[in-house]
Amino acid sequence: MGVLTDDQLIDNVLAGDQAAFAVLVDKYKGLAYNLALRILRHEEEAEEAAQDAFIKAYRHLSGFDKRSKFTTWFYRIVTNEALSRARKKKLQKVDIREARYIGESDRGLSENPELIRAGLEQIGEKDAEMLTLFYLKELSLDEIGDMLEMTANNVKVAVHRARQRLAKKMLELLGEEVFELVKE
Amino acid sequence: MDKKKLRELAEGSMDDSAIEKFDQVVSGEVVKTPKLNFTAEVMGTIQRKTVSRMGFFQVWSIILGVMVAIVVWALEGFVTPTINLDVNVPLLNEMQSVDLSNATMVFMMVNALLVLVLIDRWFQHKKRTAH
Repeated sequence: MGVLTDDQLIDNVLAGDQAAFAVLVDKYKGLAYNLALRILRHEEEAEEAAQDAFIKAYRHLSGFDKRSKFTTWFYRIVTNEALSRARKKKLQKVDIREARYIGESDRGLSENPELIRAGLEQIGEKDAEMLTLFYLKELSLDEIGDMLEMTANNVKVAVHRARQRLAKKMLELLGEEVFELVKE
Repeated sequence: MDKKKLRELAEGSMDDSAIEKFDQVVSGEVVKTPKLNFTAEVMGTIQRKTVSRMGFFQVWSIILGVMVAIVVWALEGFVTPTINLDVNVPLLNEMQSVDLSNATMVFMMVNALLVLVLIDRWFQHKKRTAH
């Protein structure tokens, strides 16, 4: 049996095949979790939000009219779930300026995850979301475009700009003294 | 990756291979993996909720059964002690008949309402599972 498309899987779920939904969960758990994590910035909360998003999607699957892609529809469920959780819990965003991204001397960029995280926190929600979706590698530029109501070309440009802003932010965060840390 | 490369990227003049390297380093921090049993947990919750919904329908089935019994009773389908009362206390029987008639009206109205709710629930369930 070949790989089923999302629409075929959805048809199977609606016909009563719960295992087909497990395939969808497995396929998009990374997307759901990372989107929720980007909004909530809390691993356990993000995990719960992603799980609840899947349960909501399952419950309302018969209402999905297939005019849009499943990912587009599901993206809205995940972001709404995460945003409503963020509102309810009033999660406090980490104060980036206090983040300890300045480590021991002579650490390279790849060994300085705190710096990357701090940069991501500061580039803004949209840029961070764009990079998350792009780096997930689960979605094509067209699919990301459908989700964010943009053309694939605009997605490409947005990713490029987000990457640039991240690099700038990392440089800003490093400053002169810490600048040496990015040396290999 | 050195600071020169990072600056080049910030200025938009970085070559493709350097961008690729940057992506490689950053994506490790951006993309996280949910816990291993994520799918199993979601499916477990869905199954539990399905079972509890089935339980919900069983409760409604029992309520429906009781309602049918009440309606049948109200329509005097059951054998009642009317005969005995007829013989012994005709006046009391007459009063009880009046009470029974009022009770029947109330029961019928409540039943009709509950049946409507039940039909609505069934319709929603059907809609959820429709292909």
